[in-house]
Amino acid sequence: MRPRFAASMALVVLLGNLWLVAQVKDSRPVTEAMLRNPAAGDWLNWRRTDNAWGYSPLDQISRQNVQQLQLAWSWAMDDTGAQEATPLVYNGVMYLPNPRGVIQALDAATGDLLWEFRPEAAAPPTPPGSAQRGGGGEQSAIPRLAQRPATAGGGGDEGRGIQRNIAIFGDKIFGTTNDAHIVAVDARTGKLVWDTTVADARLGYGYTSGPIVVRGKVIAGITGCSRYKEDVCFITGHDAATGKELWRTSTVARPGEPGGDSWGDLPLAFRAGSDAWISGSYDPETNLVYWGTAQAKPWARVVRGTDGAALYTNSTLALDPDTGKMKWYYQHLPGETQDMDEVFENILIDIGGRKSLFKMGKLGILWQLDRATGTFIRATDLGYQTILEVNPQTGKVFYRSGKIPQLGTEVDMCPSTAGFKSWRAMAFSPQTNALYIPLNLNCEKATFGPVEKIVGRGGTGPVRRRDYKHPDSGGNLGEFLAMDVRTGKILWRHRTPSPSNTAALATAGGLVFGGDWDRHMYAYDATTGKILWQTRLPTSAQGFPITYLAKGKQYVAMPAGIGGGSWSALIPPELAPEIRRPNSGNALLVFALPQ
Amino acid sequence: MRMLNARCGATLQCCERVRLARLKPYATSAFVCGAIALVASGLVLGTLARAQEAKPGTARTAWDGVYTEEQAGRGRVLYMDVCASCHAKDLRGDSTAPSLVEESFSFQWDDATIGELFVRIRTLMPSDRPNSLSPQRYRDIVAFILQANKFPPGGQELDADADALQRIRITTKRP
Repeated sequence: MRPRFAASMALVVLLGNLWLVAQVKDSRPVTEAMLRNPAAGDWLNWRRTDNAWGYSPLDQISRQNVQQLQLAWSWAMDDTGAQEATPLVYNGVMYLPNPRGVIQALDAATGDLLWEFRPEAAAPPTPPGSAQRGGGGEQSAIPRLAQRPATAGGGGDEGRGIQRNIAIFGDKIFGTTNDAHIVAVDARTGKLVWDTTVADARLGYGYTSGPIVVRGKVIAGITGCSRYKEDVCFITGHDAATGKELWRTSTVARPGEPGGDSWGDLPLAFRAGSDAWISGSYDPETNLVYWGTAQAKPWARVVRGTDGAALYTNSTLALDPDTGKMKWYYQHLPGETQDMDEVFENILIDIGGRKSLFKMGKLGILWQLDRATGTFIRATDLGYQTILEVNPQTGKVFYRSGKIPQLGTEVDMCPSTAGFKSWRAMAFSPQTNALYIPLNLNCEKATFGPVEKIVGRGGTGPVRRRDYKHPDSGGNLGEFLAMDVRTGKILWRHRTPSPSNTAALATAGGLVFGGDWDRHMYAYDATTGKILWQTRLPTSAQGFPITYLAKGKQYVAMPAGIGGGSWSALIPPELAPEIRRPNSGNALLVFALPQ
Repeated sequence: MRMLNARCGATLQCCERVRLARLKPYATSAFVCGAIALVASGLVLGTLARAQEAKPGTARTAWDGVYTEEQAGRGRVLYMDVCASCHAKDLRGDSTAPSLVEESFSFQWDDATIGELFVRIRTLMPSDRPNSLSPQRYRDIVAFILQANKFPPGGQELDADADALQRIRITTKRP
C-alpha cells in the first residue's frame, strides 16, 4: 500500500469513526409514565398519545399567526421504497423512519443528522446488464441503497418497504421491517441492540407499521398474510429489553377453536388475511390494547369458499398487553366480501360518560364501541358507500341487493377497492369535539375472478376494475371532513381534485393540518374549515404530520413522498391523469414561525 | 368525453387515449398526456380506429411466437428489479398486488390484446412512478409476463409499433 493512499485511508477511517460516534447528548430514558402522559412538546407515539388522537396541546402556532409559517429545514429521505412515515420527537431529537428499515436521529431544531441505523446489507447485487441507469433519462428502478429486499417466492417486500412508524421506550428505538423482523437500536447511538425474526418472510410475512410499547412490551401486528400457507396472521408482544417473544395472538380463528366454524370447513391453510397492518391504541384504565384486523383473503366470499363471518377478520380486538389474551372482539363486517378493510386506527374518546372507541374503515362508516366491553354503541354512515345498510342502533350489517360479488359478474360499488378511508389516520380535537377525516372519493365497477386452492398461491384474488369518480364528489377525488363526534353532524368539508393523502394533525392552536396527492399542504381553522395557510411540497404530501417543541419553539413536520403499495396509488393516474407528480422525492419538510 | 379532452388539453400536452381497466370497447378510459397537442376530433377518430382493429377476429394471437427468449430474459431482470417488490418473484402477487400468472392472468387478460396489456402496464406501473421506463423496457416486461404464462417464444421481438401490438390477441387456450 502506497503511503499517500494509506494516509488517506486512515483519514477516511478516522472521519468515519467521528461520524459514527455522533450521538444524542443529554438522553434520559423514556419511562412508562412519559409514554402514558407525554410532555407537551414531545411526540412519543405514532399518534402522539395512547388514545390515537393525533392531537398536540401546543399553541404557539395558532389561527392568528399560522399565515407566517415558513420552511425551517427539510431532509431528503431514502428513495428506496414507499413513504408513509411518522417521525417521533423526544427532548429535541427527531427519530425518523425511512423506507426499508432505515432509522435516523436528527436535531429537531436544525435537521442535523445525529446518527443513522441502516440494516445490514443482504441484497444480492443487481445482475450485470440489468436496468442500467441513464439511457434517455429514464428511471429504471428503485435504487437498492438499503436492504430488506424481496427474499424469495412469495414475498419479503411487503408494502415496498413502508415503515409507517417506530416506537421509543427506555433507551431504545423499536422498528419493524418489511421482512418480518423487529429491531431495537440504541436511542443515543443508533447501534443495533437486538434483532428478532418474527416470521418467515419467504411465506409473505412482513411489517408495514411499527410497534407500540406498553408496560415494557413491544407489540406489533404482522401483515403479508394473503397467500395460502399452514399458518395465519398474528400480533406479538416482545420483551423490550431482549426482543424475546412473550406472546402471539392469532387474528384468525383456527379450526376447532372458538369461532373456528366461522370459516366453514376450510382448513387452516385456506384461512388467509386478517392482517394487522395498522398499529394499535392503549387505555391504561382498562389495561387493554386495541388493534384492528383487515379483511379476509381472497376478498370475495365466492372466491375464498365460505359465506361465514371469517373471524377475526375486519374486527377490533381488545388484548391484554401482558399476555396477548383477547378480552373481547367486535367484528364490524362479518363475511366481508369486496376488500372493505376495517383495520385502521382506534381513537379512544370518553363521551357522555361512555368510554368509547371510534373507528372508520374503507366504507366511511364511523363505529362507536364501548371500549371496556366491546359492545356496539352507534354507527354513523357518511352516506357515500353503496354496498350495504348498517343499522345505526344495532350495528348489524345487510348487503344491498346485487352487491355480494359472484364470479365473473360485475358489481357497481362505492367505494372502489381503494376505499374512502385508508391508513390516513383521523385526528380528534378536544377543543372542537371534532374528528378530522381524510378521505378519497371513488367508485368502481368490479368483477371478481377465481383463485385456485393451492398452498403457496391464494392472494387477494383477481379483479377487473373500472374506477370512476364518486357521483357526489363534484368531480373531486379528495375530501377533508370535520365531524362532531358527539352527534355525527358534519361541521365542514374541503374537497380537492386529488385524494387527501396524509393523516390529520390537530393542535391546541385551533388548527388542523393535512395534505393532498397534488403536493398541497393545508392549515385549516379547526372550527370553520377555512384554509389559513397552504404551501406546495416537492411531491405528494404522504404520511403522518406531527408537531413538537425544540429549544422552546414549535415546529410542524410534514412527510412528502411516493409509493404507498396500495390500490389508492392507482386512483390518481387513472381518474385524474392531468395531475402529475415527480417520480421520486421522499422527504420531510419542517415549518415554523419566523424568528 | 369532451370534458376530459378539455381537461387534458389544458395541460399543454397531448392526450393518448388509453384503455385501462379491463378492456371491453366501452371500458373506462383515462388520458395520458404526452408531448404534443392534438386536435380532439382527430384523437377520437384515431382511438375508434384502433379499437376496431383490436376487435376479435384478428389473425395473430399470443401463441404465434410474438416475442423472443432473449427479450423475455431481459424482461425478467427488469421485472425482478421494478415489479417483484409488489407482484412477488413468482409473479403471484401479495396483499396489495394481483397475481400476474395462471388463472388470475387468464381472468384479467383473456380476449384482450397485447397492446392493451402493454398500455396498461406503461400507463399505471410501477404504481409509484408510472411511465418511468422506456417503451422498449415495458415491452421486455410484457415478453417476460407472456413467457411466465406459457406463451411460446418466437424469432422476433414484440413489435415496437403500438398499433401492431393492438392486433395481437391474448387467448388463454391455444387456438
